[in-house]
Amino acid sequence: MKLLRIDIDRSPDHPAATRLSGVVRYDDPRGGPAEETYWYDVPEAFASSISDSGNPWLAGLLPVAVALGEPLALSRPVDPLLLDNAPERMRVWQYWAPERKPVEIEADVLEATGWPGGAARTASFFSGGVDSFHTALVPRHVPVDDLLLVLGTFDLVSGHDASYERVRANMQAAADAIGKTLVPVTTNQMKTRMAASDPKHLAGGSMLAAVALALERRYARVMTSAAADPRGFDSATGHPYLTALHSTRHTRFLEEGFGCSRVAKTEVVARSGAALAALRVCFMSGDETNCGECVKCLRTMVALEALGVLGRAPFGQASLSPSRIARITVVDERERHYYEELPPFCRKHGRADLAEAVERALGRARRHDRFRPFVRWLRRFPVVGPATHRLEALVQDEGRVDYRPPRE
Amino acid sequence: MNLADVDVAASPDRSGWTRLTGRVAYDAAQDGKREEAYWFEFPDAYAGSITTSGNPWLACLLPVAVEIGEPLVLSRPVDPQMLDFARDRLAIWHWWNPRSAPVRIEADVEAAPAAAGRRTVSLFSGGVDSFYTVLTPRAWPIDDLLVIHGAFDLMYAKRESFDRVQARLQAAADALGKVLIPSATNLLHTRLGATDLSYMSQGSMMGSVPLALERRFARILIPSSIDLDWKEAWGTHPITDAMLSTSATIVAEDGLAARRIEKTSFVAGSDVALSSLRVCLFTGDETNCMRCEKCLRAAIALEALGVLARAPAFGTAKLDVRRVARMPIGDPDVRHYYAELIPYCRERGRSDLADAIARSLLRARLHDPFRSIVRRLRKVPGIGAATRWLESRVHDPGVTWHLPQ
Repeated sequence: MKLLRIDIDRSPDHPAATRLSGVVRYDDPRGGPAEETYWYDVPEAFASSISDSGNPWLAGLLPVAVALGEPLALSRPVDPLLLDNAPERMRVWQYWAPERKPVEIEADVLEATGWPGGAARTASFFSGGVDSFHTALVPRHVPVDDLLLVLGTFDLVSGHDASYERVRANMQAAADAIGKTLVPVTTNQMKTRMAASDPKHLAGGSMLAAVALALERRYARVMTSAAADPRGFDSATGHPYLTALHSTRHTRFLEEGFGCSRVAKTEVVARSGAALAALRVCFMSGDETNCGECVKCLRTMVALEALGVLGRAPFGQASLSPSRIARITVVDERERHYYEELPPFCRKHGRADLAEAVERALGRARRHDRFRPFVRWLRRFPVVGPATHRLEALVQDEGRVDYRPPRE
Repeated sequence: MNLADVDVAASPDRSGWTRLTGRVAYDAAQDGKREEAYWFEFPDAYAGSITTSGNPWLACLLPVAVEIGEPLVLSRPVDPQMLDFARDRLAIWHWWNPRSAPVRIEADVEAAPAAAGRRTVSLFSGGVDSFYTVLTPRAWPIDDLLVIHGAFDLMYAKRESFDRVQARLQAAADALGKVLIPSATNLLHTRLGATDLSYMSQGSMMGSVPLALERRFARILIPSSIDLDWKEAWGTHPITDAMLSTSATIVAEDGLAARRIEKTSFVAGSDVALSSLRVCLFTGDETNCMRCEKCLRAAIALEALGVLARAPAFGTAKLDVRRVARMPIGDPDVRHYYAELIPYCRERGRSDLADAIARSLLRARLHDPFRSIVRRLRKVPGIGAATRWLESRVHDPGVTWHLPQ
């Protein structure tokens, strides 16, 4: 595959935005388009920071090339550190999944520093969740200046401008309140082959890095909130070593917040009225709201309820009853790790009732583990299936695992 | 504890070298000492790059402060980014070991970041990890190689031993077109040496030496000693080592995604590397003892590749398969390296080596339930000698101490 050309021009879709686009041709279309345009729309206020180097393209397209098994050729020059690190990124991916073979990279090396003044600001990726608010709020000697909100990736993939605008407006209010600059970037990454490049285990970090590097003239540092504790790195969580491999000589990628548990982060976030008002943790709603039904919403709600601030956060509920908590379905092992943090946290804040409810939910989940394959099998049958669902409903709430299209 | 002052002066031990000394006062006496001098030395040619900032001191003193449970006060200003990341270093150590409670840090913040150096340095012991990092092709090349007299493998090395190591590595550096920077430090002979080096402070010690020359470096590479499978605490871990970075100098581990045998295969393709390869932690000089598991492990891979005879520091042209079968592999943390070697040897037509490794591994696992009782028996007068004799019937003794110089 080859990045044929890039272009920086007015966005045809978003007024007052400038678009960085790159036309990519695939060696083998495999039944899809032979060429695709990947783009990033940036508010005009930040247009002077848009990069014309190959850096965002090497960052973002490398997992696509690996997934397709095609060599990657770039028509724009690339920073030598990023180029050096590209084979190591591929070795990491192959380490986790041996079928992912490294590909050849062909690009000129960017010799000069490129732009006057140099990058000076610090950005942090910002979804409005607990991790990103924690990164933004923690006091630092090198403070976070910009909050990078990416519209069109991960939890915000609907492509509905109205949903994006509501999210942007909420995050803008929060950024203004905590004294940061919100930099919203819209992208079509998930409408391209990137979407088929395993964003969860392969392309995710690269997609975000590409967005930050699209504005590399602005940034000396790009911070990511550590998603896992220092023992739990794998292809799903990523690895801070892999994050740092997106660095160029002028823009460093760093993870922070290690060793800080999710509940400890929630406690920091809960002290900020602005953060509480804009908090969005849900992967399912696809907009500025929290569904209040998925395991991620519910565990955040439990922590906020223990802190006595749930009513001030946008979960649509003033309080959460222990009986509801006790019926939560926690199947995923990683989720259980987060739920295990809750009982001592709730007790510390005088809510033994919540702690016991979480322990009941966890205990039931573990007891059910051995029967799960059998129950899944039963669910497939015409008559037995609905009966199985009804029996399950007697002991637990249905776990929410489906994406809910955003309201328009 | 308090870094009371720092001083840059001629070395009292080596003519033509300059010493950076930090005088540290402890709140409570440590091993009877209320004060200690920590120092780094470099040839005079590099004296202009020696820093008087607090950065190398924050790097190496933080684990000491944690272990003795005293707040760390630094009399020299510190880079703001490094100070921010000190909080994360503390959090990770605490996460790994709840007894390592975070301590308060008191230091001024550098008003303006130090002028960035332009060069890239890699720590360089002459081992497999070091050569892998140096030999990897790069668009942003490595300029300098830093060898440390006083690091783990050269902790007890006499001057003449270090001089021989330096000469060997100088030849390799010349052949590779790099600048070798010799250095020395007493860090492992201070209170830092009594901290948990293996699982907390090794990287802090190693990183502080090039940071003492931070004015020279845009980037410091630390060859990774573990791989991506590592889930536990480790003294020189890619996460904590990267947190030694300052605003002007990147500190990064290199080669985490390469497995040990991949690194050895890559390094074995270089005659320069083979001619000076030294992997041993115990000899304290330019040779490999060929008795410790690290030497034997490297020698097996080189033998399977048919290049052992071209690595003179191993002192043998051919590896005796019977020795491989008699290796004691008591440390469970290194067994996966041997497990990887079995198919590696078979693929290269050395089933004899593969079988011998498999025998050693199996025996080591069979012995695991009895290790604690055997260790106790060894200490009992009379029975100890008999225990050792019985052990020697089934495997060779492992080397786990520095050999006398």
